[in-house]
Amino acid sequence: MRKKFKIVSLFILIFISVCSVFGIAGCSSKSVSCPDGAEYCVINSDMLKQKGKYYFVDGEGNIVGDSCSIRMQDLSVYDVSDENIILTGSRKNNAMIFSRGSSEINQDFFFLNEPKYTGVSAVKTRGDTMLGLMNGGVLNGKYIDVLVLQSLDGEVLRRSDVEIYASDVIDNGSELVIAGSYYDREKEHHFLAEIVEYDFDNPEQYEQHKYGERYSEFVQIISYGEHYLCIAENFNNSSNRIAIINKNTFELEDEIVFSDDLGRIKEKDGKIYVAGLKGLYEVNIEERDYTRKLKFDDYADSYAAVAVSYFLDNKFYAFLRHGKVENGDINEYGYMLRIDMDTIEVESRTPITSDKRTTLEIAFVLPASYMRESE
Amino acid sequence: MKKTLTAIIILVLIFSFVIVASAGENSSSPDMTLDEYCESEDFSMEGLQRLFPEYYDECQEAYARDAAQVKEIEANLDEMLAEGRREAEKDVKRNEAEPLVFNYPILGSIGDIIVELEMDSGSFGFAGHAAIVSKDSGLTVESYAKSFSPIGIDGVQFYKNQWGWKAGALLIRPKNISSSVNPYRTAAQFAESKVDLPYNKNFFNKKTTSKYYCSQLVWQAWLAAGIDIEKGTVPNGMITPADIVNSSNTYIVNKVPD
Repeated sequence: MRKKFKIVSLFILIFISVCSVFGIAGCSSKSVSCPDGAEYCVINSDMLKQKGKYYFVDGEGNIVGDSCSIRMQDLSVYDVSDENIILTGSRKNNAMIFSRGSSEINQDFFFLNEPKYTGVSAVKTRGDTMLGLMNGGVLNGKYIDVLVLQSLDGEVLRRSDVEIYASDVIDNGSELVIAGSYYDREKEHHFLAEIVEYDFDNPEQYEQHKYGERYSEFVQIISYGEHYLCIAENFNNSSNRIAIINKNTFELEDEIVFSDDLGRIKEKDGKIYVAGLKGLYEVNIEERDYTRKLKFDDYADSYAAVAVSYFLDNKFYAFLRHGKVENGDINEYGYMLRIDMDTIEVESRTPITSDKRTTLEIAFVLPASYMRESE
Repeated sequence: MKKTLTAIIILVLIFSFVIVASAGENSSSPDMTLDEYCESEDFSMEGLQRLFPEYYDECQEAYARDAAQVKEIEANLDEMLAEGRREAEKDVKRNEAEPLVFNYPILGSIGDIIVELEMDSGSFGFAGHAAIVSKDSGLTVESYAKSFSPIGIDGVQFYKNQWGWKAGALLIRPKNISSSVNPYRTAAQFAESKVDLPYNKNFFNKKTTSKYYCSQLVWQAWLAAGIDIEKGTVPNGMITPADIVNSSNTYIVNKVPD
């Protein structure tokens, strides 16, 4: 009996040792080693289930290094800043937070510390806190978002209900300017554009400014001199205009109409740039005019959508995505463009691929340089 | 030996007590109707099986039949897609750009039907989920049981239309709408008017207008527009997402590719 016990114990010890050596315990998905030569990190998640993975591609689109599985759903809402990038869900309260220069990925952040709660309609990073406008739904005839300000270590600093379906936020510290839409059951188009002024010192008394006569939604908002500039969606679901709104009165002063659906707007060195489905434009707000500076289909044979886009580190990144194309052992999904915002030239055009077994569903593409420690 | 026997006898006695206690519970009759129980806070599948065993068994059988229907759809999908392409040429929406399917994240436009056969939205009587695109194509109208709802709210609500992301989701339209988009508008409007109503767990009660499960909402929306999207399917009392796909009154416009 004692001999049998010794033999069993020995086997268990050997088994544990082997597991440790070969990492059968599984990759540590919270800490990633960014492989040499990696150009981008691709983070893929499923719309309906908690599953996905992240992996790296080099400048030629070759998959390099290991992939790591993640339990994440619907990472379709994101915000990008100098310090952090947060990917979170509309349909699921889960998040991946990347901090610049760090290989650690925070996957334990849940708004209101409740993983079972709903996802967000908009999110904003603010240093070591995160701002989420969580989906509340239609309640008593109004669409309510739950505004949550929470530190990265989980402390809920603020929570309040706001009547808005939020798309974007301007963060002025103690005050927020939230763009999105409000719900009106009586109107032909139930969702109509609005901007909410929100004061953390007086959260119950937020002010709503409604623009339902002209627009169904404000998709993005930035501050520009004496005005707010909003990418606005019309009642045909085309986000083809910039609304020019007076900051003091919130009066809609004018608009600029584009022959493109717009997605991102940015002020840089006093100039306004806006990216659409077809290209990148420089906008002269004073003249109510624009010039196309870059045409995307010069860089991609065919693409169906700009699946992800953002301004970061004086660059503009755009993932021009098409449907899966099988090519030997890999699947091809399109290209990630990196555009220098000083020269407005495409610096790189990187194929985004996956291994044959992986179907990209909701994919975010992040420059690997963001995750590397600065030298 | 004595100690072991004593322990066994005690265990048997405890076990018997537990069985008798739960049998006693089982023998009590429900003091509420099926609909009332489905809406109650105490609802559970175990409770449903105990208090309404016939309904529970009917749902299990219906689920098995529906799962077989789903398999059949998957096996015949290429043929159905080809037939759909022919039907699409007659539809009033035929001039909508093909990239609608790729219009990340949006799938479809006003009144269109979206079916996903792999996921559930709270039903234990059928497989899959159905949604209808609202008047704003950026939003769908969908019904989920609370624990399945992405926004944690029971019943009919607006959701962001992200179905263009979902590989395998089917875009469905009724046949023979060739001259006007008004039926689409009517169907979307009907669905929107039901926002805030609770989820219907009585799947055989598809005609109620006070609560809705996902495919029941879509079916009634299109009935209001004059088209029965259950027609041509084997009637079993409930309307399922697979029924909508198989109906002789609908066709598959496209499937979201990988």
